[in-house]
Amino acid sequence: MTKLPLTIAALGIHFALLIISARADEIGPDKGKEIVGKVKATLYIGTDAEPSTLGGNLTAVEQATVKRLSSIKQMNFKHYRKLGADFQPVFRSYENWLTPLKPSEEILLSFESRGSSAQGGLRLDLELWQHRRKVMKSDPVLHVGKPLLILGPKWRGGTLIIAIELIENPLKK
Amino acid sequence: MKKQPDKVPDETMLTLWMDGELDGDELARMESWAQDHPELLAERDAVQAMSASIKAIVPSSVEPPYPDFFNQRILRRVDDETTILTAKKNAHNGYRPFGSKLSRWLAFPTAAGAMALCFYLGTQMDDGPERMGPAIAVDAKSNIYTPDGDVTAAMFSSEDDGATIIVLEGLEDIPDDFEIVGEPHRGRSDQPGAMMVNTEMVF
Repeated sequence: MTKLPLTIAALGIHFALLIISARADEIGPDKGKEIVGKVKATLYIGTDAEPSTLGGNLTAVEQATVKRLSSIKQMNFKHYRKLGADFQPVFRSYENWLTPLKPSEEILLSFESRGSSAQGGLRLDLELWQHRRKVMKSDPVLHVGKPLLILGPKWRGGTLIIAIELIENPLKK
Repeated sequence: MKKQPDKVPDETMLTLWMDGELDGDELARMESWAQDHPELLAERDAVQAMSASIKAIVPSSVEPPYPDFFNQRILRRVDDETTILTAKKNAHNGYRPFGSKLSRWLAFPTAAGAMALCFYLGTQMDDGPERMGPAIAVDAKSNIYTPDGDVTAAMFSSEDDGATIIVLEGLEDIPDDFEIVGEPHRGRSDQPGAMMVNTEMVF
C-alpha cells in the first residue's frame, strides 16, 4: 500500500521521459552538424632543383599560384608542383579533417569552427599533423580569396607548402 | 587487619589499561587490582602482543587513494545506517510520529504532482524558435603553438594579397624514399606502428 505513491511517481517519470524522447526526435537533426563553410587544402612542393628529382607524375601549378607563392620570400622557389588537394565542409561544432595526400596520411589537417570573426572571416581551430604527430596548432581567421599558407617539412630536396583556403562562408553577413 | 578490596574499575579504565594507555597513579591502581585477576592479566598481555604485531606490519597512518571519494562514501554509509536504524526503531516502538502520518497522507498528492510536473516538462519541449544562435563573432589575434620544442613557428600576413603565412622550422624531414603521393599510409621503418593519439581534453 505504501509503495503505491512511489509506483505512481515512477510511472509519471517514465511517461515524461518517453514524451521527452519523442519530442527530441521531432526537433530534428543535430545543429552541430550544420555546415558553416567549406575549406580546401592544397599541397604544393617548391624546389630549386629539377622537378624530375621529385619523381612521379606531379601536376604543374597554375601561374597565378606560382606568382603568389614566389612573391613570398620564404616560399620563393624556382619550381612548384602540386601534390594533392582535398575539400571538406566546416561543421558548426564538430571537428573535420583534410587529407590532401589521400590515401596517404603523411600530412593531415584537423579543423573545427570557432565562429565568424568581426571582419566576416571564419576562425578555425587548426592542427597540422605530420606522420600522425601533431606538429602545429593555431586559430587563424580564414577569408574567401585569402589563403593560409604553411611552409612545412622538406622532402626530396623541396619544401612542402600547404595552402588552406575558405571557399564558402555562409556565416558572412 | 584484612585488606580492603580495591574498587572495581569501569570498562573505560579497563580498556585503557589493556591498550597500555594508562600511566601514573591510574596505572598503579589498575596493576594492583589486576593482581587478583590473572585472567585479565593474560588478556592484557595478549591484546598488547597483538597490537605490537599489527603496528609492526601496518603503518600507523595510510592515506586512502581518493580521500574525498572515500570520505563521501563513508558519510553516505553513515547516513544510510542512521536512516535504517531510525526506521527500525520507529517500527519497533509501534508508533508513527505526526510528520510520518502527515507524509503518508501527502504521499498521494505529491506523487500525482510529480507526475503532472514531469508531464508538463515533457510537453514544453517544443520546436520553438532557433535555440542555437548564430556563431559568435570573435575578434582576437591568432595564436600559434608547436608541441615539439624543436619546432619554431612564425606567423605573418602577406602585404600583397592578404594571405596569412605560417613558416615552420625544425620539422622532421620526410624521408626521400617515402612515397607521400598516392600511396596509402604505412609506418616508416623507424617508427613501426605509430599511432595518432590526441591527448588533449575536449569539453
